[in-house]
Amino acid sequence: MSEPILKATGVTIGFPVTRGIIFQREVARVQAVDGVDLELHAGETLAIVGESGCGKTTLARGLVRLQGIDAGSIEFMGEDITRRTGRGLTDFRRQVTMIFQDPIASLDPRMRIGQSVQEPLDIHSIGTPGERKRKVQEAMERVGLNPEHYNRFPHEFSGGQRQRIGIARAVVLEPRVIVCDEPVSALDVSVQAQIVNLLEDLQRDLGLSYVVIAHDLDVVRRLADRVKVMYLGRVVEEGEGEQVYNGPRHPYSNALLSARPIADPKRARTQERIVLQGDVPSPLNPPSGCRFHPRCPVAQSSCAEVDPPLEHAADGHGWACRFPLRP
Amino acid sequence: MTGVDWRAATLRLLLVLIALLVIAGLVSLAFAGAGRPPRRAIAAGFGVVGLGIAVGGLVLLGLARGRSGRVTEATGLGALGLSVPFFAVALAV
Repeated sequence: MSEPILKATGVTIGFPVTRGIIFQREVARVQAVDGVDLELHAGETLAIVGESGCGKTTLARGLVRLQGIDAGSIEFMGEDITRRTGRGLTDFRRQVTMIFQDPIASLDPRMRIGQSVQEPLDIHSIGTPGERKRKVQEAMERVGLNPEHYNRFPHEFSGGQRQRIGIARAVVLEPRVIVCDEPVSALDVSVQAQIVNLLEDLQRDLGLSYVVIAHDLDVVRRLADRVKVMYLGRVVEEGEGEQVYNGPRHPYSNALLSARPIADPKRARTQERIVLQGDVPSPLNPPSGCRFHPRCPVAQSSCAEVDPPLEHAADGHGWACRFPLRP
Repeated sequence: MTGVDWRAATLRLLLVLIALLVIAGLVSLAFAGAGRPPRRAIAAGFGVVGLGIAVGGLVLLGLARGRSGRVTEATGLGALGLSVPFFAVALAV
């Protein structure tokens, strides 16, 4: 297989819990992402799924260096960008852009959308003012927006159109990688389908690679070549999309998949649902051993003692469980 | 877990001190504008700000007793201590 375009090794990101106002002392640390490895190849879509608070968005922000990382490294096209600052970091951000979850919050309400989409070109000093405007209008057209709406404000657009503006802003720099942080979760189902189709078209036309963070497992199934399942800051299962969907080996992935709604009422009635007991443990004080063991339906006493590593089968399917489910 | 980041703490302390001095200066100017002689205006300005800091310190102490996650008793006592130089200036001029 070719060299990965984006590679993360042992990425660990934590947030301090402090006491005091002037002389702040760190009294604990929330380990949002704990030793995550990731490889993204050219033209590929990698999805990261998991429930709220498992560290997906923090990982996404870490990948584009919007969030500092405590340990591990991030390589882009073979170059370590973990400690890059200034010009080097700006150059990296020209190649790796991001689509944010909330299209309302991610657009400045006082900027015309043409200005919003053009801002990355201004920051990277690309082209003359005339060329920038032309590129912006091309990007708007590419994502299905009317270029004549260049001078409109975000409140004049629907949710789906606003997300298209966010996508136009991400593609206007002609990046190699786009990190999509729940790109459709704020949209209704019919608009979700349009945005997913748009992302697929852009990938085909521009040769993009995506890291997609998502809640919606059906969206992930449609978009992703490979899937990583996260729980409490760690990857518990990874593999090709169909491997994870058709034969989940980790009990958490299985529970996650069983919780997905099924549109066919007949099938939904016969579908076995696994309801996990208890709440997600606090990342301030994660359980010993396997982090999933207090909620795991197949946990044994030894699961509280041994932290299972991510082990891979010959086909690349990996899971971090000592008692994996049968495929 | 780590200890105190002294560089950040010093910067924060300096910022708070500068902000309080600016406020004390503005209050003094307001008193002077209201017709007080300069020394009395400075004394009043610093006295009012010192009182404000002391009251703030007592509130922070109360919050610390109420088991606030962020505020410690040291924060409240520190604020009370910070009011002392303002009272000293108010009394000295």
